[in-house]
Amino acid sequence: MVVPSNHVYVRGGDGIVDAFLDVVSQAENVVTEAAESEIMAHHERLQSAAAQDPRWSSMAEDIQYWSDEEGNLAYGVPPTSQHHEQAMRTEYGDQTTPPTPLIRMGVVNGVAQMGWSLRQRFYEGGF
Amino acid sequence: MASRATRTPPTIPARPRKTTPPPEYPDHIGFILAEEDALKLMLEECLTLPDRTGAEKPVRIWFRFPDSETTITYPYVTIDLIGIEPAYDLWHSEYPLYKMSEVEEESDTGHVSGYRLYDPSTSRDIALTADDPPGFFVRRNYLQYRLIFQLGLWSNNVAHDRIMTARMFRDIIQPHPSWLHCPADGVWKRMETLGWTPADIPSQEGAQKRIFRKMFTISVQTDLPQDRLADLSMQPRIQKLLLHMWGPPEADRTDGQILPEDRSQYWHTLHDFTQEAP
Repeated sequence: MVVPSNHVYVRGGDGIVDAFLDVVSQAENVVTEAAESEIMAHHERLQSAAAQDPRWSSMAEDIQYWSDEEGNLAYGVPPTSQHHEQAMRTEYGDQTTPPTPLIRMGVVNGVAQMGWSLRQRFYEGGF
Repeated sequence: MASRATRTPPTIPARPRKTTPPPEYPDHIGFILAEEDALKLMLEECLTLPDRTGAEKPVRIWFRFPDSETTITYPYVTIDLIGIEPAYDLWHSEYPLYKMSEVEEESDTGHVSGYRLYDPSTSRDIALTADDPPGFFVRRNYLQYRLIFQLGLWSNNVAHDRIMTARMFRDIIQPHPSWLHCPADGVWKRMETLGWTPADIPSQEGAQKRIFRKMFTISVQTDLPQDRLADLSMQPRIQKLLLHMWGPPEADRTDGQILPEDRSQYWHTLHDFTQEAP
C-alpha cells in the first residue's frame, strides 16, 4: 500500500485493507452467483407459464434475455424474433384484445423474488 | 404505502365518476375502484393538448378501450388494471393504529393541521359515536399493495403523440416519486413509472397511416386494512384495578381462599379510573 509521506502511517494497515477487500470480493461473488441463478430460475418459470397460456404458448420459446444497445438487461421477445409484433400485441393489447402482461408482471415478481434470494444468500454466506 | 404524514389536499374534488354508475356499483368506492377513479380524475384534470388554434383541450380518458358504439376521437388515453401485487418489501412490522394516528401536515410548510385515521380507499376518517370511550378504537396497521396500471396514449398525429408523451413524463407521472391524490380516503398515494414503450400500430385505413401508441406501465401504492370495521366491538371499560388480598392468618379461610362473605374487605384498589377527569 502506498502511503503519502504527510499522512500518519498505521502499521498493519495492509492486513486490514486486504481483509476488507476479501470481504468485498466474497460479497461480489455471492451477488453475481445469486443474480445469475435467479435470472435462470425466473426465465424457466416464465417460459413454463407462457407455455401454459394459450395466448403466449406459441411464443414461449422466443422469450429471452439479452443486452440492449445501451448495455441494459432486456427481457422478453427480442425485436429480431418473428414473433415480436405478436408478442407486443399480446402483452399490451389493442382495440379488440385486452393486454396480457405476462412479461411485465413476470419481471415485477422476478425483481421481488431476486431481492429475497440475494438476502438469503447473504445470510447463508455469513454476511 | 399511503403516506402516513399526509399532505393537505387543496380542494377535495367531487366524486369523480360523472356518469350514472351501474346498479351493482357499491355505495362506497373501495379498493381498486377508488384508485382507478383517482387516476382517471387526475388525468382528466391534468392532461390537455393544443388544438389547431392553440387552445388547450382536455384529452378523453377511458377505462379499457371505448365501446364499439362510441365514436373514436383521437387523441385519447386508456387505463387498464393489469396487476395487483402485495408490496412485501414494505410489510415490516406490526403496529396499532388509533383514530388519530394519521398526522395531516401542510405540504408546503409542514404545519400540522389535524389528526385522523383514514379507511383505505373508502373514507377520509372513521367516525365514532359520541359515547365511544376514549382509546377503545384500535386497528392493526394497514398492509401495502401495488396496483399496476397500463396507460395507453393513442393519437393519430405525431405532434399530439410527442406532446402527450412529454407531458406525461414531465408533468403528470413525474420522476420518482410521483403522488396521486385519492379523494375517496384523502390520501396521497405513491406512483412509480415501471416502464414506457412505443407500440405504434397500423390504422384501420391501412398500413400507410399509423396510430401512434405509447404505453406507460405505472404502479400506484395503496393499502388494505387487516381488520374489518364490521368485526370491531367495544370492549368492557375498566373502572377499577383491584388486587385480591390474602386475609390475616386468623381469618376464616378454606385452603387459603378468602370466604365469599369476606371478599369485599380484602380487595385493594390499585387504581380507580372512574376518578380520572374525562
